[in-house]
Amino acid sequence: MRSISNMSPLAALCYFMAVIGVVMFVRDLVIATVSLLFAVLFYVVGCGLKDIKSHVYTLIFFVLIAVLNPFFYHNGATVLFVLGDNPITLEAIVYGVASAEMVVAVIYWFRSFTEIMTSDKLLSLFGAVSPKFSLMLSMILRFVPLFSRQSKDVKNAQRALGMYKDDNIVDTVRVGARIFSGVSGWALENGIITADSMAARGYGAAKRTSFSLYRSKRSDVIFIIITAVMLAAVMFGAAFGTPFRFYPETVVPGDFFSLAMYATYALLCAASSLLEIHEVAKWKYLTSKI
Amino acid sequence: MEILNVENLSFKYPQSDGQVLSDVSFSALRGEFITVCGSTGSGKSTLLKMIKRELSPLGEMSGEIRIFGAPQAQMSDYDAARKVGIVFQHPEQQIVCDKVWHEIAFGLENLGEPRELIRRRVAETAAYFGIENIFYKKTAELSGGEKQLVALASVMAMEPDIILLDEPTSRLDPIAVKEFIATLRRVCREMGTTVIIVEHSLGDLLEISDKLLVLENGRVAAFGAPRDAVAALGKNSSVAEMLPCAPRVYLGTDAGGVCPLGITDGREYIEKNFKNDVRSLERKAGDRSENIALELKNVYFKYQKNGRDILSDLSMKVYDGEIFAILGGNGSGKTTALGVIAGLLRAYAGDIKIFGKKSSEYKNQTLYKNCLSMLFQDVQTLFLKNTVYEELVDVGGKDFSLPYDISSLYSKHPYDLSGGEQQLVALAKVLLTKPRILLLDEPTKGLDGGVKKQISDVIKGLKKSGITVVVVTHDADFAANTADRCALFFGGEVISSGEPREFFSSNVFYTTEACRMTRGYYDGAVTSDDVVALCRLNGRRE
Repeated sequence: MRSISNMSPLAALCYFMAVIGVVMFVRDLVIATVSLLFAVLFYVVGCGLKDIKSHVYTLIFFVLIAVLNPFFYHNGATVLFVLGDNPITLEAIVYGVASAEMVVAVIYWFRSFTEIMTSDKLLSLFGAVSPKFSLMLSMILRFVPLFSRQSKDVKNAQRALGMYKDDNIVDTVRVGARIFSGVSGWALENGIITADSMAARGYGAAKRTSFSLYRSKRSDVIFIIITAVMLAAVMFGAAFGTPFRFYPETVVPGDFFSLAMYATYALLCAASSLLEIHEVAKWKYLTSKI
Repeated sequence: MEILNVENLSFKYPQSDGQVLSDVSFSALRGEFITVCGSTGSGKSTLLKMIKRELSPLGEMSGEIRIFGAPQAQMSDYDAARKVGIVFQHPEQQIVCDKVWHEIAFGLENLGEPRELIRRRVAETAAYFGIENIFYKKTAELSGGEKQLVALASVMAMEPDIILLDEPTSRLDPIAVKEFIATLRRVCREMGTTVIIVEHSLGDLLEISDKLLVLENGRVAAFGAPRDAVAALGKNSSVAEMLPCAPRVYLGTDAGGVCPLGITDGREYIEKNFKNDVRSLERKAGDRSENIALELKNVYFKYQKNGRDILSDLSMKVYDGEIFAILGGNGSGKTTALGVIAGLLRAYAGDIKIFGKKSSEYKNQTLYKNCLSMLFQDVQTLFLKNTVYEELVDVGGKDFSLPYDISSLYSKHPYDLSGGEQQLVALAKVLLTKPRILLLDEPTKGLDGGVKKQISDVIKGLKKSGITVVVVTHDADFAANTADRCALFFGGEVISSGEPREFFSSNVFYTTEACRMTRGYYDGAVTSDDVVALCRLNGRRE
């Protein structure tokens, strides 16, 4: 089986929806912790530790959510200390940490998701639903960089005409408005050529199909089925097991259904990292033999 | 087999007096390569659009267009889209999708072909055109030549029988033009596709075309094998300016015989018919001012901190009131040099002096006030208003005056003008800032011979009124005709410079056609007019 980033867009989408869905809707410290650990692990394995700054910001964000909860919620049996008139309880801290873990886990899953789901893959997903919408998206993606480049060129051209003064904000804003209207005009005028080019290549001549570079292979189908089965097991566990209790006292459920649910979810979350590591290891092994 | 018949085709736009096309007839065989030429307004683009049914303009039409013997109107939408493909002039605007692979698949998607077939065709097409290396790239990141190749590939993926091209190379640099045309020739030969290409610089096309169709004022002036078609044209034909050097010399010298098309047979024609007792023309001594208008001293520039130097140790002087042409290949730093001179890019070392004052000392945009102006390559970046008149008033105020007359264009929208007209309006707009130094970036790109000459005359006129002109160009012939001095850029510095005659005759590769054709037979003949003059001076061989 290949890593998630090499799977078909549909398989990747199913996987992320399952993993993120569970952590968002099942309020559970264990689930949140497991999810967070594997979300971070997967991101690091897949993308490395680039952009340290953003990780630090996320950590600050994590601490903020975890710490704020006990200051506003004072339920819970175990009072650690009293701040002013407000009792700070262990349970409220646990709840805060669980919420923070959940939010940050979702953030990390989404980070991996955006790295993996390139515009091509998204288009292929949309294309399956609506070929027209997918084409529109593709045209927008093409157009945005063109528009900004033209704006830059127009700005330079206007500057060389002496339309700018360095020290005058009113002037800068006025010229900015001129440039925007000019570039909009340019976009509309040249859109006619694009329209001709579309008509010339039979746009509207027949019912459109949507082509994508990705094909669902057998392994993708198998992966989707496994994901679905595991998701069903987790949902079953969440429905029939004892729910996690935060208040008045934190109780981690120990019944069979709950334990089975934790194990299944952990395996599901770990799958992405395991597949990734497996592929890297295999690659290293193969190249080392050459 | 006749694949396309155009019979007595006439066309008139609604609310206009003149016929755009009158009584045009010609036919094309399978796998034929037909070049259509004519000056601006000769109706060549309209003719192409009429052959492509989806783009037929509205108006009064008479005559008939038949494709595979059947009238064009009877084709199904599917066949119309598939059998006739078209590539436009602007590489940028005809591309629809964001990725190269998607662009190639676009036409087939529209026709509702099954995915498996599209997959196969897209792969085949990419391999045939050698664009696998850019297959996954964004279309916005491609060079002009690559874009045009993708545009061609995306049309060819639909397996057309006829492919129409509307000035496809006019926005490309000379090397990309040659590559594109070679690919086109290959498609024509190997796939048996009929190619009909409208182009106004015939340099690379004449020798490989099977037929040449010349339009003048909407009428067929000549149609046939290129040699015969050119020979049938008069010396004063509006198309003469578009021809490459050899046929121009042929038309200019009246020695008869078979018309030469390329360098080799052009040389043969001259050696066979004309003596070379007088080897060079008398030159007028250049009278130039000793005042320096613009001076660059050891200028360095790069875009990124760790990038390579785009300008490295660039030093040059431009004298007051001269026309200075900068030539050079792609990426040699020509355009960057203009940006640095214009103060739009900042050099990290070296001095730039404009009229003896450092350019950094021109504070608060005073550099652009009655001192220096720049005309960009894409002149559309200058147009922000709805009419030409408003554009000009915008810069020059109510009572502006121009060195040349474009009053007939005042009421038009700038985007409705032809390429040459846009260039003239943009130049006018820049001139209204009353510059003493004018920087021009590729002012003749995409323009036909007649308009080129007009621009050249305008620039010479500006020189007379005391304006210093620095012009960046790919066009050696234009530089030879216009400039007082030329400089060759390479690797971000000036490699050689000099007065055009001596500059081009001492260059071997980077030189004009006339120069290459007459090397060793005549000296310093850099334009076809020079060659004609020398031939006349020497007289016929007995």
